Amino acid sequence: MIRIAICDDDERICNILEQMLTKISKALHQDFEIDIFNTGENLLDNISKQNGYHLIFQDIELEKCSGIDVGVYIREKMLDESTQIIFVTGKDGYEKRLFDFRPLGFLEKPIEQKKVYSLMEKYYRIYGNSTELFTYKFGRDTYCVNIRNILYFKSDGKQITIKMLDKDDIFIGVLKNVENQLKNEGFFMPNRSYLVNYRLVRSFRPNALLMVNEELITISRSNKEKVASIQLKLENGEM
Amino acid sequence: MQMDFYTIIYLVTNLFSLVPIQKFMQIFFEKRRTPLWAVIASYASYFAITSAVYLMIDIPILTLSINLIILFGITLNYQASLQKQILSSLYILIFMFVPEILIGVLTGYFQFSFLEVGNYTNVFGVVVVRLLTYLEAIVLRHFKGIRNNEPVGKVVWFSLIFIPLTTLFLRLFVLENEDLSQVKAALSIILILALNLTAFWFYDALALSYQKAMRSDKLELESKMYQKECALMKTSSEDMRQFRHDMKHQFSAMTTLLETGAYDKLKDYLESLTDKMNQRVTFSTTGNLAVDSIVNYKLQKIVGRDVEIETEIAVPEELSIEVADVVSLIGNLLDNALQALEHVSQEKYLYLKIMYSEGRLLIRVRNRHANQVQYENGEIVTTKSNRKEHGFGLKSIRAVAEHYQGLVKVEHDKTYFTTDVLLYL
Repeated sequence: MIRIAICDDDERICNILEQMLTKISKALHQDFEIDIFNTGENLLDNISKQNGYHLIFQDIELEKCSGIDVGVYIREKMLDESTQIIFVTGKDGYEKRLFDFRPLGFLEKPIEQKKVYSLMEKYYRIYGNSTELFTYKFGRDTYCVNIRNILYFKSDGKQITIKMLDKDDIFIGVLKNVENQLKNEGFFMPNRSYLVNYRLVRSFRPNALLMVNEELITISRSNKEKVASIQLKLENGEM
Repeated sequence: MQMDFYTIIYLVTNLFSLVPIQKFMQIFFEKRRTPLWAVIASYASYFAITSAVYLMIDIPILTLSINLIILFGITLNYQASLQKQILSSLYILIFMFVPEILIGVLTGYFQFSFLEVGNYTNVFGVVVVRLLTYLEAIVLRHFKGIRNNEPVGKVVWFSLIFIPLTTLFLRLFVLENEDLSQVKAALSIILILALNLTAFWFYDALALSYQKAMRSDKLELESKMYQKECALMKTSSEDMRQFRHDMKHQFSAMTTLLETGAYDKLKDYLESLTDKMNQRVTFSTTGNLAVDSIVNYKLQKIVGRDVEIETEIAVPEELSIEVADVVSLIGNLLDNALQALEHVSQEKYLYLKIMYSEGRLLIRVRNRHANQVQYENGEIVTTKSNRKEHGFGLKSIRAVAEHYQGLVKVEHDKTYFTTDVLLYL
């Protein structure tokens, strides 16, 4: 089950989108819990009080609290990098700033069900149907962390470091096994010792990945083409 | 012939010499044109024949000639002109034999005749020779211009081949001289090597400058094409503006028709207007001038031709990519797709996705095709009569992707043809 917020001042748009998502949830055999907000303030108010959302459909052109304001609040104030945002727009043109919030995609008004469907497909292509939790053992204790907050796994001999958005941890294991465990969860290996969360890359470069925490991870020469292929596959789907 | 220690070492090192040969081939050539087994067979025959000739006959001049012939045979596996194949086999021969003679001289084996049976049996020498050749190959790998297959012209070719050929004979005479001291012999060999390296260097520099010249020619051509497109795009956008302007007048005219009750005329009027409207659909409204212009301009052409067009375009107004590259890339991708659609008789479909995200530009073009894709050497070639022009299209796409260190992926099944492009901006 994923939690979805729709934020648009146009009641009709919200309803149409909700109906489309309900249909899509059946087609994809997924559960959505959908909340509707008519102002950006209401959405942000709700986010700050309760748990966040997995996915937000955010109208860009809201008067008081626009798409950019919501983006700034989520990414820069709350430092929440894992909530996915889809910007909904009725106007021509895309401001450069919007792309800094790493949106999952854009949706043009009038909204077409096909496009919403393809965006939801992309969401699941990257996140899979995970339980959202990664469990590992250290000593006798078992720990579990939210996958979406994991920036990367780094292997050092027998030891694996989990780098999360808010903390680090260590456990004993083999990176290949972790990779298998997280298959179809949007993790990939840019080089032999890193397993990286695709959606927490701020910028993809030919030879390196800049993560959202500003860390730079090199793409090994032998993995260069594979990494490019993975990006094409996750962004566009199979050919 | 008995298998003594030297023979075994010779065989092992001769086998090892296939490695530098392969490296040399990579210096000169970029692409294979024969299947892998043919390459392996040619290398294997090099090993077998040269070993046999050396161990059984061992007349230097014969060994040299046979080496040259088989090296030339190996070069036939690669894509290049005959001239280049001759030239490169000669250079490779020299690069392989200079260390051999040099080490021969240094280990005291220098007064011998090229025409008589040799009796060199220094195990240490033969090992060092191979190592030297290998080192040579590694050093020469830094010359990257030669790999390109630009033609160099007859005069240049002649001079390039003249130098190694004459030095080969010079070497012959030098070593024939019986009073030659070891130092002088070694020195002359080193000088000959230096001369050949200089010629090789010259060759490389020349190839590079040819490449540059070709590239700038190509750029010029593309920019001319681009200017033409721009002019057309400008006309079409002016058209559009004119149309919007006219709309106002149209509406007032229609209002008059409505008020006066001339419904038949109003109906005709509306129909003609609908037609006009259909011809003016905008597909890309991102605010990025280059993307919008090229997409709308290309797709305008097939509006009303029964093609189902689906687009998903989201890019910022400013992109750090050359306008000419955007136009060439998207233009060529769409040209190829539209070309393929011309052969499709029903359910024509075109999908275009252009996305900017996290420092990348991702493009997908997917179209229905009539299943006439043809391959040549594993590369897709056109079904269009004008092959050259079309080949240029896919080449340009790859060139732009290469410039941005990205990736182009082409795939098709019986119904759809898909091209994916990734650029790092």
